[in-house]
Amino acid sequence: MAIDQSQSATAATDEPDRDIIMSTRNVRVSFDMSRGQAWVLNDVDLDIRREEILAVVGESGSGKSMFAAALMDAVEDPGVLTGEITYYPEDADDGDTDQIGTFDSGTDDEIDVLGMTDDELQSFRWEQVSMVFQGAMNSFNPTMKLRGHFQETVQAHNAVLDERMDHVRDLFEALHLDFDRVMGSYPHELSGGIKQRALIALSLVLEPEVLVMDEPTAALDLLMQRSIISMLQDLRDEFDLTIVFITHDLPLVGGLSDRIAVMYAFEFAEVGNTRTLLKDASHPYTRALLRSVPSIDSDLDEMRPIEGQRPDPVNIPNGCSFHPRCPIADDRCEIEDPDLVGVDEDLAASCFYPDQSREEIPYTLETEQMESDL
Amino acid sequence: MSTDDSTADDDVATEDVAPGDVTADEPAADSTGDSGDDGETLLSVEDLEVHYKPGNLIERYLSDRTIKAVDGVDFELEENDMIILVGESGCGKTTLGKAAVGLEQPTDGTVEYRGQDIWDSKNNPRNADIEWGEIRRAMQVIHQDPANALNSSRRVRSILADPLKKYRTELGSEEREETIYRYLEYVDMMPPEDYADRYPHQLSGGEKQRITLGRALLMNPDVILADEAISALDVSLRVGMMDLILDLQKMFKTSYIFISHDLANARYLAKQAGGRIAVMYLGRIVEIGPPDEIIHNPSHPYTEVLRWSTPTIDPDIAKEQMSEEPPVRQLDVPDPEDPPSGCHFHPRCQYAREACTAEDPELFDSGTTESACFRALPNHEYWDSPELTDVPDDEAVEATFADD
Repeated sequence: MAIDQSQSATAATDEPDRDIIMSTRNVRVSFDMSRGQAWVLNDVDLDIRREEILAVVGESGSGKSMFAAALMDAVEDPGVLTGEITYYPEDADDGDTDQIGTFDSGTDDEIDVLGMTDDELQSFRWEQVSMVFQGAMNSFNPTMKLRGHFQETVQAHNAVLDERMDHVRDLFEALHLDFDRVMGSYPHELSGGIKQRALIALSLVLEPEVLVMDEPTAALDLLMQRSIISMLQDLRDEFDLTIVFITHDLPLVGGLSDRIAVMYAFEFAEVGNTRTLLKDASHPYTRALLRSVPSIDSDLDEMRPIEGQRPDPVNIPNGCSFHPRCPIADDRCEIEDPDLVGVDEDLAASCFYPDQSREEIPYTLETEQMESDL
Repeated sequence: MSTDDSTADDDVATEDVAPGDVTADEPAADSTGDSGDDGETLLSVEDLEVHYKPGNLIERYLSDRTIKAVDGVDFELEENDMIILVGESGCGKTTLGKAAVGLEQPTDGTVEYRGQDIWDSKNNPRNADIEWGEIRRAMQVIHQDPANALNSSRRVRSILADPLKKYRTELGSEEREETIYRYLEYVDMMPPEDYADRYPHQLSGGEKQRITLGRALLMNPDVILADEAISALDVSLRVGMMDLILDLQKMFKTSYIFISHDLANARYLAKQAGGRIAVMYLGRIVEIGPPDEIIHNPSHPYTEVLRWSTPTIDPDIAKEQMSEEPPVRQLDVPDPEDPPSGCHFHPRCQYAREACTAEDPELFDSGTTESACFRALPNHEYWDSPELTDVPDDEAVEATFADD
């Protein structure tokens, strides 16, 4: 199993790669529980590429929100975060070096996120990497108009208010929001969809490079959900953003993301180009997941649930964590934990038998009218 | 169908060992016989309205504000039938479901169970053909969150024994035990002896939901209301739960009112069960019909919107769809307290014309489905009426929300 150096997600990058904006190495989050130590993120390696939309997909309890929190060193106590998270700011010779807030990357071309002081971290979150949570629209202060929230944030980072407000106008336009009316409203006067979009604008007020979104559309109506997805793509193009989109809903990201990272049991099971990963997944879990999600026009007779249960974080199976539910697991899978290795160009999976998996676990995305086998 | 039925009955017969435990336990083996059951109207909902007065006691007294959660709905449910209510949050699907199984008293309209007005039966028990208690037993509910639907301090055994103690008083403790084990097997909890001794916290989410399904079935109901019964489960387990419901439907011939906000899951259930999908918008059913027609050939513009909003998993198609504009004139749902005049959907509808603002469409036969849209009628004045010019843009959308 040769590792494809250029394409594999685990490929070590000694030289900071211009295409990579953040990288995680051996990132681990553990909790001490009365029943023993629980790993909720287990030696995770991943590179996030500049200006991509990366979807992190996993079922509830797979560790995907923990991954999001880890990216900003925002894992809450008593969770313990270890490993290496590196952020590569845009090169200084790119022209636009105007500093917006208090964060000063200095001359470093790589920043150790976990080694920052609290003050540095404070400016790093918002100015370089910012985050939108699920249902976060309910976190607006109910006694403050929306304009106040924006002003407060801008001032906390010592940025120029007028300049920032001009930027917000651009953001509001991209998000189809009426600037004056939304800014002059209290949160309770606005619908959930408007609040969530305003919150996305707020998270981008200091022009961060990376936007991490944890189930940003989960509490919204279907139409609003779908519309926000379309707007995100426009936002990325217009403001040169890198978006990490975390969700449990695989069909939601098929059209949105450039790459998908599938999480299972606190690790990445498969990472790859969206099209390749959806069309011809190689990890048995991804394939089984695709077979278990009825989509609006897929063939229904092929649908099967994944047998078994997700693992307990205190008691993750030895070897490959998916082996107790995997139809093609053998002795090796019970003992040895597979690394994330390149399978195809731009597809990497944590499985010893990607070819066998493709042969033996069928699924189809074809619409039912076509009725052809994939 | 018939072969399935007979095998199910045979299974039941061989498992029926306890002498006192006879047919009443198995709906499929009911004396009426199975083949004749299909097609008989079980539940008939007519012109149903559930209006709420918002606010506290005094506000309710003083103001004349009403929220029309369900506003004039008719549908019929046959034996061994399935209807899936689909709609966005706040469209009234849960209220309709509850009113249909007698958990919520409608402010107007009737719900009839086998020809008996259910509220009449409760209020005038002397004149009732079917007793209220019997109606309550015949209509069961599975809730969205199984963790909150099971008493956490009681074992599965005692949770399941309760309905039997109340409604099957003829059973001795041993027979009751056996019945519980048999139903645990029906819902795929093997070995049943082991599961019966567990507490809810020792079960996974999927297992808990199967217990609530088993508990509902123990009452030998005719109708089960399943309110988002799979939404709380892991994505990879949902199909399994739906398959179990479908298998048990074949076996027990129970009718289901299934509530879902997810068109893809609604399609799965409706297609496998041969049921119908009913799309709700602001308290009304706007389109009802077989799943294929609803998904691939919708007649009502709102059904088109739901279809557009449900993402496709195929990345090539999904990429194409990303650039499509939403098929609405405004994104947000209007205030349910003050719904638009005429057709409730007209301010958002891309096909709306003047005629839609004046008259409220009822359900018309569109040829493939029943649709509450004038476009289903080839000779309606809609076609001659001018298009709406006040195209609301985003600002108008926002403005409607500033008022509430």
